[in-house]
Amino acid sequence: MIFAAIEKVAVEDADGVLHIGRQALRDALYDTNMEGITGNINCNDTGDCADPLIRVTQIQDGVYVPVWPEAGEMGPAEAAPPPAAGGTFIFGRGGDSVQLDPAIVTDGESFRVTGQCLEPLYQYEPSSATPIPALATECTANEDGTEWTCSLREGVKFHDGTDFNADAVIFNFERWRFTDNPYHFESQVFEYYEYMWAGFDDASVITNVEKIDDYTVKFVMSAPVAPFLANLAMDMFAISSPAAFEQYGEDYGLPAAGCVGTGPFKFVEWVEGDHITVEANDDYWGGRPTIDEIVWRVIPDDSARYLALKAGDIHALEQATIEDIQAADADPELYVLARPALNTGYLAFNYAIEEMRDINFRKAVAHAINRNGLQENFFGAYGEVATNFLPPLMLGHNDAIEDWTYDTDLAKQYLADAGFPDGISEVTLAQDIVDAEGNVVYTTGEKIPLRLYYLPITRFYFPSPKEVAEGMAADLAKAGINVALELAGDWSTYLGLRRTGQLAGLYQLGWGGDNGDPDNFHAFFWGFGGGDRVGDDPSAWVKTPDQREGFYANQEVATLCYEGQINPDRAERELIYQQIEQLLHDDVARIWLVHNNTPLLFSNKVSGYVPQPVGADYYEFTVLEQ
Amino acid sequence: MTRYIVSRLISMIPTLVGVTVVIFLFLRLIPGDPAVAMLGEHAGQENVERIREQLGLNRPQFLDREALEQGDVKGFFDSQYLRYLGRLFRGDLGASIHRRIPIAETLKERFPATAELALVSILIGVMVGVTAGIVSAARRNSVLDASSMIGSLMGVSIPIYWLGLMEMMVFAVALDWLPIGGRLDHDIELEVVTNFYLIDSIVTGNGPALANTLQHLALPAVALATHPMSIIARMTRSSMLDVLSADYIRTAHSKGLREGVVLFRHALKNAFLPVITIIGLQTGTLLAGAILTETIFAWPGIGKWVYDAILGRDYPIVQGGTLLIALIFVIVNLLVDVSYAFIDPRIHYD
Repeated sequence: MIFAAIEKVAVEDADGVLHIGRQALRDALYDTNMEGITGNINCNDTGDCADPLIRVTQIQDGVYVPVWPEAGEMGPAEAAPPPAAGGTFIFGRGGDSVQLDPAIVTDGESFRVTGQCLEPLYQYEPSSATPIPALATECTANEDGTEWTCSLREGVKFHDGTDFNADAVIFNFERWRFTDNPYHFESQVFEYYEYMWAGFDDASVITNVEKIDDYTVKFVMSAPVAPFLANLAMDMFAISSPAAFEQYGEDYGLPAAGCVGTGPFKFVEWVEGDHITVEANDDYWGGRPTIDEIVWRVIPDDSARYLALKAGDIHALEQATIEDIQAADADPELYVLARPALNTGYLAFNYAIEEMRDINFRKAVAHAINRNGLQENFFGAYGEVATNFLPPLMLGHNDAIEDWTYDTDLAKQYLADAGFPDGISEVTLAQDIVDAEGNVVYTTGEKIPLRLYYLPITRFYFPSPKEVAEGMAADLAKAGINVALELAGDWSTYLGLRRTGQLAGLYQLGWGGDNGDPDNFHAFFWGFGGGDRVGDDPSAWVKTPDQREGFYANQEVATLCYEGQINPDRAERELIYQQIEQLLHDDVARIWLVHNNTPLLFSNKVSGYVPQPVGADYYEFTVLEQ
Repeated sequence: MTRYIVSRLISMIPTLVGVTVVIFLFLRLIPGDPAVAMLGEHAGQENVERIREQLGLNRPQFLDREALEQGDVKGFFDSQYLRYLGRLFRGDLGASIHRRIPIAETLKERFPATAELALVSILIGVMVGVTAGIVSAARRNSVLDASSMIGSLMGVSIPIYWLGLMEMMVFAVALDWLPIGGRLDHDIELEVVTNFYLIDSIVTGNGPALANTLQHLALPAVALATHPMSIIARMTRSSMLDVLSADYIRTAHSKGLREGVVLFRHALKNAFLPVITIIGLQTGTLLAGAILTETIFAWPGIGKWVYDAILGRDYPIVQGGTLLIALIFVIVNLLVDVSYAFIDPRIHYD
């Protein structure tokens, strides 16, 4: 069917390149009218292609002969019509959105909604982290990657009826960038613009967004940004209607205003702490979604959320206990989909501790922990043991890395080489550690117990942090590494201690990618910090130990991170990041534990939902059986 | 009486100011930083400092001595606490750090949700608890007494989390009678007037909304009522037993009064003072928000909201929420004290 449609719409140019229009292909598919094995296949306006009456037919001597139903007999398929399109899809989630202006939030629950209402210039390919055009039809770079020219999709309207065009793109970028822009409100924190585009005002790597014509814009950069398209596709850089800012001002994104974009769904209402509703956008440029409405219901308790799915109060949920996932797997009324992992849970060393500066000690820890066992026991079928910091689906993942084996004897040997043949339970500070106020918390030479700090909350990369820590401690003890498990306070406290290097020992943490680009993983951890970038010559920059990263510093890795940031060549970048992975592995910089695919639970009435490893999930293909 | 009430109302002011100081101080004694909580794993030194400055968290907490040393008297008072107190006296509770939504606006939506659930729960608790207590006392050592006391023991012992999930499994999943969580189905239209959905649906004559609200209230209200119900039942029983052994009750019986008259007119009225105190305290506790019940039943009230704000170090929400809770307790205590005078004529406040 697809080939027939391609044949109908594809155009070959003089160079032999085949051009297939996306909308034309879609239209051709909808026009399908062909004889298939089950009967004459037509497609309805929601994209379901089948014969309305299922039959079983046998080919005899090259001729279709009806087998079932026999002439005059009505089959059950005829009695029961195919599922009707439309309906309200109810998704259960653990928390409410913070705000629906994606430029000023950092939480996934906000992006879950704004991703349906708003669109960036690029988006991520379904089930992948590869950027593909969205509101832009194409963006091309000049030779040195300092200018990107984007053609914009024509004829698209915002939900408030105003036009999407170059002015709207420029309005949004200027609002995010300029701190004196009337819509860059003082009370708002544009965290991701600063983070992804190197700062505000003159510090911004985007120095200008020029209007070439109504549907073409040019981004002028002060330096090449290799992950430009990946950054552009992030939910935070989705385009809002300028008219909505004029109407709502600082209240844009709050419950009374919601979000006003060009996406497949339009904002309807937000009852705080309870639910958010959006409805299908009939005029969506990509075609009207199949379902009529999405309701995201807040049900904070994991077990209650699962019971709501069982009771039919909701159709899908994210975040479930391992027991509930197993129950759903066995339940004929439910099924489980996994969001591909774009995360890594790890065990970090604090290099302010003398023993942790010794690679033999680090290797001892690496070989002592049974990571396969931890994955099987605490992550189940949805976790995969990590050999790289980058998850397998990402550019730069290095398959050639030889993983650390689980070998207690080898761990003991390395520990002996580190000077602890009889085991270790106490460590020595090699430098002072100070808190945020400048008070010395640990002094050089101080002896402290060897601690293993575990996360105080469940994170997507660590579903059971305490249990994992207990498993690690037991493994480590077998090799003579005796750790004291430490709960350092709640999540906010834990992050605060990490920021100032006060997690003085081994500590659990992880990372979830923001844009699917390896730069977003590596540069944040090992790249040159603001203080390291002294002068205009990057080859003279010196990587200093970063207290937030347990005082780790690796000049070679930092230099490669910079090269990866500015090199527009995908193949070369792949090699750069593979080299970074190898260097980190050889240095046992950290111990990568698991990439965790996030399970989502669905009622059997739902089909077509596309969970995304990065960016908002695709709801527009979801079909709900009525 | 009026003078007493006025004096109590005036004495509330220093109490509440004291509460603001304590909450402000304790919040900042907890390790952790709103900017770090906001940024999560992304929290770096520079952006944390910038956000702290933007939120005014880099100002001195109570008074700026450095500014005073430099002769800047205005700067001396320009502290986080005094800024907060100044806004408070102007009726401004501030806005959430993370969401930037005014606290007063959110309270207007969330407090009625908590209050509605709390009041229905306390109503169930009082009706069932007082009845069970009276019956137990009147039929002391009977099967009825034993079963109601075992029931009340279970009521205080069963974890609300477990009870809530069991209710859901039976009444929502197995029987499909009642919904799980929330205040109203998303497809039920209701014109919101007071944010008390029971009142709003009655006032607007919206029958389907009233029925749906009651359905949504049933499970959380029963779960939340078990604890106060049990305490009230036990307190009523023990207080009634004390009174029932008094001479005047024997006198009433010997005068030939009917059992009901003796129990309700003579015994209950005198036994009710400690029960009223307990009801007052329980009402205050429930109005302050029931974190567990609100979490399990996805009830958008103030308990879960303030709890999340503590974890996220959203200072204005915690300050505003706890101030409201303190106010509730002060008012409930006043109402309980005033009610004594109506129940027991021996008590005078003038």
